[in-house]
Amino acid sequence: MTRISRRAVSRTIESVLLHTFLLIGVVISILPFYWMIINSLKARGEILVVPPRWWFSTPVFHNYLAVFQESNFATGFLNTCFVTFTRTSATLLLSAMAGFAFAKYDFPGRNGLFLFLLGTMMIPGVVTMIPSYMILVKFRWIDTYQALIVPGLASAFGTFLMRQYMYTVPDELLDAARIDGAGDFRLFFQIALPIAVPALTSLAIFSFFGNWNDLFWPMIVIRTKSKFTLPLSLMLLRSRFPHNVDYGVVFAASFMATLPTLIVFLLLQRHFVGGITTGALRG
Amino acid sequence: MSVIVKRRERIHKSGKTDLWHRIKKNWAAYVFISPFYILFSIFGLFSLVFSFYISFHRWDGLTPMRWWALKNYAELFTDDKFLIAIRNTMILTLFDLPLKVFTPLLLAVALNSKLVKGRGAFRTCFYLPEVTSAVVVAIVFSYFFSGDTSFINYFIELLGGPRIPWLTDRFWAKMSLVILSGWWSQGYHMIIYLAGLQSIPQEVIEAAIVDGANRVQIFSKITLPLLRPIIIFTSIITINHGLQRFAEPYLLTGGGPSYGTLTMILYLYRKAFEGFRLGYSAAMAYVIFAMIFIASLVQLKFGGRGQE
Repeated sequence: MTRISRRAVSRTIESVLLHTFLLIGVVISILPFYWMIINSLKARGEILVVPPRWWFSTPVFHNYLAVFQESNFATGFLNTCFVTFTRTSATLLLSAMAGFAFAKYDFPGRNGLFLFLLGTMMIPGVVTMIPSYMILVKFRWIDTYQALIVPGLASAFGTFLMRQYMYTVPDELLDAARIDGAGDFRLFFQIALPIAVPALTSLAIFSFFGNWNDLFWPMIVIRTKSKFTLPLSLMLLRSRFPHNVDYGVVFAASFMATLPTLIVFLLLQRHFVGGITTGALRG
Repeated sequence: MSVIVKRRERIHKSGKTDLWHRIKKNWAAYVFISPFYILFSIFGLFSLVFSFYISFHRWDGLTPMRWWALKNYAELFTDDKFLIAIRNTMILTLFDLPLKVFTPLLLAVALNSKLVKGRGAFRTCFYLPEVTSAVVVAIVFSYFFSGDTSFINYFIELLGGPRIPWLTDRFWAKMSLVILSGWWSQGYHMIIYLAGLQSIPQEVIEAAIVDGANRVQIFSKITLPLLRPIIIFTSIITINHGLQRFAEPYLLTGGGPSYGTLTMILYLYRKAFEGFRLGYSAAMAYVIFAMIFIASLVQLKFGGRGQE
């Protein structure tokens, strides 16, 4: 009896320790979000006081209004929506098509081309950045939406992921459809693509986050405020008064910029985690 | 291989122009891969080669290039700021390792325990930082770190610690970046570890318990060796990301104070897009590429040797 109860006690202690450790981790992970939201609802005088206040006296929403009145946040938001949507859909289509071809056709050059693709996944973006920029200069694409959208469309990782998944499309199904007279494009769009939806979802979430949060590339290719994406608009807002940052407004804008990614993540995290694991097992 | 393709091959097996037939019969495959490879040839392959080419030239992007031989590369290794940037980048990456390789492992091991309730909710919370953009992260952390009476200093002083000059001292500015970046990406690494832990067969651990192994033994003799490939993977991506650190110093510290957080990519960006020294920047890009490549090889070799 005593042995059992001692084990029970030690298990309880262990459980408490584990949960404490994990809760500290949670607090650290969540605190910046909490602080962003709470401060966006504070009046200006309440934000930089010592000691910091964990709650607002009365919630104020003028920070949110000010974001739209005083910055090009709305433009940035719409631009980001457009660019993210276009880039993500096009990346999915390109990756799925190439993945399908690699998985289901035995065409001459297949293995060589695929190995080549795997090799390119190691190349850091910084090596291709300057020439890509010069190409856009030559195309006269600097400061256009094409410049934001086109250069990043060819995703080696996406093609790799889709190829792995396209293997699971049953050959019998494709053959049957072909006997019924379906052409290659119908095979792809009507049979392979619907089956690949889970992989497409993972890839879509990945590209969504990457595209929504992208800073480096827009910084290089965009000049005018009307083409700014969200990160650029936020940067502009943040640097407006460098020595007297209006944190309430900046936090309100930050929260609104983060909200779409939070929503997508919370709704679709199951697929997201699956995608990460695939990415990890690749390495 | 698809049955369709096999059937087609059977038809054309006897022909002497077999290759041509295979190409013709698989025309659709080439159509499917061509958008990817066309874009990739322009922005990937061409850029890669062209970058190498201009690294041997002096070029501002406007006037004609001038042959510059190895002078860009030679200049790099006498450029004080680039050497400082290398040093800073290495220090930052080294300090990244505990927060990105070790802490996430602890979190994953804790989370994998059967005693933990609400594993999904914990995992969600740990992952949240990863979905925020660099600009937002930098905004929040600049609030946390700025000024003598900053948010973080308030708590440190509450615990009896000294005021830390987070963004105004060269060492502490680096630490600010390390903390920011650890906060940002530990959830991702934790999930990778968790997947690895869950792939360890439960029978192995149960057999060890039957043989009288204690927790510490199980962890050090079973879990850790089996996780080795994943630990190598997370350290490779930590080092890769560390060597390519740009957005955080650009946004949080601007590379300062007095070049204390100037990283290689930040310096490259400034030389390329503020100084218009494209050839010099391209040479820098290749040096950084080589460093990343070597770092990955060393780790793979180091990791592989341990398994023998």
